[in-house]
Amino acid sequence: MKRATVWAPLVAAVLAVLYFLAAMASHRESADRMQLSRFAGLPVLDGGRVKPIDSYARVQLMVMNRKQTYYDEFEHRQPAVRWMLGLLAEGLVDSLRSAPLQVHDPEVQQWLGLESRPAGLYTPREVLANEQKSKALLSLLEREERALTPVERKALGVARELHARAQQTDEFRKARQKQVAVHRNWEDVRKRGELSRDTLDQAGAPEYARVFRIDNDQLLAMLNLEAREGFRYSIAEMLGEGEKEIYRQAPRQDEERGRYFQQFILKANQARQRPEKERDLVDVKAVELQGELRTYQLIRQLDGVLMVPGSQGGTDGWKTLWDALMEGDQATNPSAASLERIVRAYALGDTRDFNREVEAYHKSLRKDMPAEMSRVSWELWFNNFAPFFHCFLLYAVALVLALVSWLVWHEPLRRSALALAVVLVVVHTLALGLRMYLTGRPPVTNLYSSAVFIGWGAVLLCLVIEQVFRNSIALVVASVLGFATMFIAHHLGGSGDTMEVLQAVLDTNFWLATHVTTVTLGYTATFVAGFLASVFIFLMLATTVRAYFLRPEAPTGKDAALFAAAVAGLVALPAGLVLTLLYALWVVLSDGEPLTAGVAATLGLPLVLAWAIYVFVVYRRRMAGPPLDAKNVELPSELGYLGQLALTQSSSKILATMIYGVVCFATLLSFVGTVLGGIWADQSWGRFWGWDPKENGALLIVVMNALILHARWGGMIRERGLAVLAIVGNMVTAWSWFGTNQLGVGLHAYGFNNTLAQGCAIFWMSQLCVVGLGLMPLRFWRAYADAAPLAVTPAPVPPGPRLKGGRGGTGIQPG
Amino acid sequence: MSDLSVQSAPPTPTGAAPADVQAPAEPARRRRKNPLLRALEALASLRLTVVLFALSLLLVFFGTLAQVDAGIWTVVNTYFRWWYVWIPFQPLLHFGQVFLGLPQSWRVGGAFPFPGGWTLGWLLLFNLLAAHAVRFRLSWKRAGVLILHFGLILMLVGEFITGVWAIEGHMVIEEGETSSTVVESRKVELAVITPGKTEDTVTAIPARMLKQGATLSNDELPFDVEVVQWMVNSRLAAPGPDQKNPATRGFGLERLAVEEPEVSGVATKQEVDVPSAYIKLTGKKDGLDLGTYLVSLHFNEQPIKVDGKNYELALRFKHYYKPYSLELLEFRFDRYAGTSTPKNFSSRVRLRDPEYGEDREVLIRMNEPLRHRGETFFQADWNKKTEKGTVLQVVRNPAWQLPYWSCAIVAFGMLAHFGLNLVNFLRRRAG
Repeated sequence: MKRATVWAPLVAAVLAVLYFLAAMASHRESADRMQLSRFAGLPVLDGGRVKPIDSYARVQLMVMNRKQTYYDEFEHRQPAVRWMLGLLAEGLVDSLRSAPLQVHDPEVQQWLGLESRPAGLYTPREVLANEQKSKALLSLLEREERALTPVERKALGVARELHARAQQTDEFRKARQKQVAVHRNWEDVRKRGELSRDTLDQAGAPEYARVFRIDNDQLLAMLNLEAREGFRYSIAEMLGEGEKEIYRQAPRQDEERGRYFQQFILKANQARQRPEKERDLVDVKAVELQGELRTYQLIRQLDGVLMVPGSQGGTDGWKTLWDALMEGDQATNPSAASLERIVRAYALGDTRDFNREVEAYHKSLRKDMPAEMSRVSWELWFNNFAPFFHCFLLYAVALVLALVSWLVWHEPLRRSALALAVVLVVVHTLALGLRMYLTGRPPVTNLYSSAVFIGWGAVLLCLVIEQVFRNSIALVVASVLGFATMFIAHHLGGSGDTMEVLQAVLDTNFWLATHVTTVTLGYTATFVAGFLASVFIFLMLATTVRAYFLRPEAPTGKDAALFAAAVAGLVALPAGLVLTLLYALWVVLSDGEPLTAGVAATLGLPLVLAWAIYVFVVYRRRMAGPPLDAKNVELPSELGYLGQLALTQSSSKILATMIYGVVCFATLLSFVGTVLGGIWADQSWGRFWGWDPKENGALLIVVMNALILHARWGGMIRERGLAVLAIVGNMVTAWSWFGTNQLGVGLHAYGFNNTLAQGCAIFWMSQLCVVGLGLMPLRFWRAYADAAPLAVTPAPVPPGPRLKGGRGGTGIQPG
Repeated sequence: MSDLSVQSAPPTPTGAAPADVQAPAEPARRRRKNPLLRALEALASLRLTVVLFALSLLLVFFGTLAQVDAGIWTVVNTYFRWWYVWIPFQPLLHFGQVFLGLPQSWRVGGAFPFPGGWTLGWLLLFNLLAAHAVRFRLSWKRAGVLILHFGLILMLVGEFITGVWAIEGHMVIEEGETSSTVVESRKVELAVITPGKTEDTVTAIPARMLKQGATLSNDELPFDVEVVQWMVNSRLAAPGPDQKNPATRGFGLERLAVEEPEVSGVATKQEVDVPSAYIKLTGKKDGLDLGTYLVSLHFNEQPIKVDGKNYELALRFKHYYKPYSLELLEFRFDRYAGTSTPKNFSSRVRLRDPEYGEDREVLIRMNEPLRHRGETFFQADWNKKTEKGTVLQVVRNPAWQLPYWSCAIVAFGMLAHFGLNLVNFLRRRAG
C-alpha cells in the first residue's frame, strides 16, 4: 500500500504528460499528400489582427456550423481550412469568367466597340457583349497571324487570354469530374485497393458541404427542408439540388426549391428591417442565417477576408484576393501571384504544385514579416493543440480520482489526482502564457479569457490549500472548477474570435493587468470558497444521516421527514455533479448537438432511478430495522461510507477554516479590484463610480464577502452558517460574472432563448438547493464522528480515516 | 438560525479565529448605567452591520435591475442618492422573464418602499464609528482593522465631496478653433450677453433665482428682469388665435411655451427637463416696459435692443469661462485595419494659459486625460459627421485623489490583518 502512494501518482503524471504530448504532436499530412496544414498557417488580416487562415476558417465555420469541422458530401469529416480552400477554388474558377481583361490600346478598345477607359480594364462579359464583334475577336485565333491587320494583331492578345481562360475552366471541370468519380466509387475503390488515398486530396465541392446548421422548425419549413439529425444542410440543398443529383457537373437549380429560397431571402430581408426589439425567434434565426449565407458568398467571391499582405508588412495595405486579382496585382504583387497559384493548384488537384507553391510562399513571408509569421505559426500550433479542450477532459478524470479517494484507496488516489492536477495546471499555465504572447495582452480581455483565467486561478489556489490541508477536499473543488470553467470557455469560444482586438477604451495593458486581473481573481476566490462550502454541506449531511442511524429510536414525524431529506440530499449532490459532468462531456464531445430527450433519458434516468431507490432503501432500513444495540454500532453495509464522510469535530473546523481563509482572500482581491476599476473609470472619464450594472456586480461581491466576515466576527454564524453564506457568495458572483450581461439581452423580445441566461438560472437553482439543505434544522449534525454516538452506547465510532486533515493525518486539536 | 440554538460543541475559537471584535465589548457592558453608552453600544452592534450589508446588497441588486427600464441617472438619484426609494415590482418581473422564462407579456404594477443609499450609507458610517468608539483598543492585532476602516471612511468622504462639489461639464472644439468655455448640462442660467468690441460681457442669473414673481436687478444691466412665469419643464407650441400669449416681443410672438410635468424618477426613458420662462424687462432709468419675452432652452440667443444698444438674451446651460484656452489641432479616430472597431480616439490640443505662462501641445486620448488647474479633460465624444471636432468631458473634482489613497490604505489594512491571521494560523499548525 505504501508503495502505491509513490507509483500511482507517478503513473497518473506520466500518462497525463504522454496524453498532452500526443495532443501536441504535429498534425502534418504524409509527404505525398496535399499539405493542408501548411496552407492553414498562411496569414490573413481579420478583425484587426494578423492570424493564420486556419483561425479564420475555424471561426467562420463555427458560427455557421457550431463546430470547427464539417462533413463533405461523402460523409468524410474535414477540417475547416479545406472548406475554405474549396470555396476559394470555386471563387477562382468563377473569377476566370469575371476578372477583368486588360485592353490597353485605344485602337483595340475602339475595334471591340468598347467605351474608352484609361485603365483599360474590362470584364469578359463587356468584351463579349457585342455578338458580332466577339465572333470576330474569337475568329482571330483561327487565322494566320501574318494575315491580320495591325489592330487585329493587337487584339490577338485579348483573344488568347479569353481562350486560355476557357481552357482553364475546362481543366478545372475535368479535375472536378475525376474527383467526383473517385469519390462516388470510393468504397468500391478502397475495397479493390486500386487507389491510394492521395486521390482524395481534393474533397468534394463546397456547395455540397453540409455547413449550415438550421435547427428552427419554421425556418426549415420555409426552406422546404426536412429536419434531420444534426440539422446540417448544404447550400445546394437550400437552393434546391436534389441529393441524387449531387454528382451532376453543372448545378441545375430546381425550380420549385429555388422559389423557396427566394421566399426565405425575402422573409429575412423583412426581418432585418424590423426593429430588433420586435423580432421574434424566427426573425432572429432568419437574419442570422442570411448573415451566414452572406459570409459564405463573400468567401466564395474571394472577397471575404484580407488575404494578400501589403508590401510594408504590419496591418497596412492588406487586400482581399478578389481586389488583388481585379487590380491585376498578380504581375506586381508576388503574394497575390503565389496565392493564386496555390488555389489554382488545389482546384486542379495538383498535389505537387500545391505543396511547392505553399512552401515557396511561406518562405517569402518568413522573410518579409518574420514577427507576424512567428505569431501566426504559434497560433496555428495552439489551434491544433487545443490545450483547453484536453484540460477539460483531464479535469474530469482528476475529479473522479479525487472523489473516489474519499471512499477507497485514499492516499494513492489523492496523490494521483494531485499529480494529474499539477500536470494540468502546468499545461493550463503554458496555454495562458501562449495566449498572452499571441494577443500581447494581460490574461483577461474578454468573457472567454475570464473563464480560462478563473479556472486557472481556482485550480492554483486549491492546490495551495491542498498542500496545507492534504485532505483531497480542495482537489475535488479544483477539478470541479477547472472542468466547469473549461466548459464555459468552450461554450463562449463558439461565438467568434477569442483573441479579438480591444475597443479603444479597453486598450490599456496597465488597467487590464491590474483592475481586470485582480477583480477576476476576486471572482475566483469567491467561487473557491463557495465550492468548499458545498463540500462542507455535503459532509454535514453525511454526519447527520449517520447520527440518525446511531440513535436508538426510529425517527418519527418531522424527524422522519428531515432524515429523508438529508439522505436525499446526500445522494443528490454527487448525483447532480455526475449528471452535470456527463452533460458537459456530451455537449462538448458531440460538438454542440442539443441534448435530445432520448439522450437525456439515457444519461439521467438510470442515475435518478438509482438515486430514488437508494433513498427509499436507506429510509426503509432506518424505519424498519431494529435499533442498533449498544454493542453493535456498526452502520449497515450500504452506509459504510458514511463513517468515512462524516465530519469529525476537527475536520469540521478545518473545513470552516479553509472557507474562512478563502473568503478573507476574496474580500481583499474583490475590494482592491473593484476600487481599481473605479480609479480606471476616473482616469478615462472622470467619474469614480457610475453605478452601472457591472460595477454594481463587483460591489455586490465585496459587500457579500464583508457580510460573511462580519457575521462570523459577530458570532452570528459558525461553521455551518459560514458555509451557507459562502454558497450565497457563489450566486452573487455568478450574477456579477454572467447575470448582469444578460439583462441587456433580455430587452430583446425573443427573450428566453439564451443559453447563458439558462445556465445562470440553473446554477442559481442548484445553489439554492444546497443552501436549502444546509439550512435544514439538522438536530444531529454536530454529532461528530469522533464524538460518542448520541445513544448511550459506550464505544466511540472510530474516526473517519480521511478528512480529518492535518499533516500526516494527525489532525489539529481545536483550541 | 438554528446554528445558535444547537451547541453541542463549545464554540472554541478555531485556528484562524479572527481578531474578534466582540470580545473587547465586555468591559463596556459592566458599566451599563449610562443610557447614552447603551444606545451607542446598540448602534455599534455587528448584527446591525450585517443587516445593513444585507439591505445594501438588495438595494444594489434592485438598483441594477431598475436600470433596464429607467435611465442610469434616474436610478442613481432615486435609489442611491436619496433616503428611501419606492421599488416597482416590474423590474423584478423582468428578472424572471430573462432568467426564468416567464412570459414577456406579463406586467405588474405597484411598488414597495426600501431604505435608500443615503440611509444605508450614513447608518453604516455611524455603525462603524460607534463600533470603534465603543471597542477602541490600540493593539497590533487590531491595527489592520483600524487602518482599513479608516480607509473606507476616507472613501465615503471622498464620495460625499464628489457628490456635493464636483462639477461636470463639456467643451466642444472644432479643428482649428479655440475654446475656453465649459458647459455644464445639468444646470441652467439666464444669460444677458452684452456684445463688446473684442469680448462679450455676460451677465448670468442662475435658474434657482428665477422664481415666479421675482424681480432681479443688476448694476451691469440697464433693465430689471421680472419673472412672469417659470416652467421647470416645457414644450413649444404654435400660438392659436384664441390663446392668450404673455409674450409681447421676441421669439415668444411666434411660439408659445406650454408647461409640462417635471420628468419623474419612474420615467421609462431618460429625459431631461427643458425649462422656459416668460420674463418682463423694465428700463431702469425710466421704468419703461421693454416688453415680455419668452426665453427657453429650446431657443438660441435672441437679440434685444435697449437704449439703442444691442443685447442678447438666452436661457441656456450654465457656461463657465476659463482663464485659459484649448485649441484643437487635430482629432483622430483610428480604427483597427480592415474593421470598424475603434482603436483610439485622441485630440491633439494646444493649451494656452497666460496667467501660468503656459503654452504647450497636449495629446488627450482614451485613458490619458489632461489635468490642468484642478480640472481634468477627458476624451468623451466627437463630431460624428465630420470626425473633425472633439467633445471633451471637463471635470472639476476636489476629491479626485481620495479614492487612490483610500484604496491603498484599505488594501494595506486588509493585508496586515489577514496576513497576521494567516501567519498565526500557520505557526499554530506547525507548532
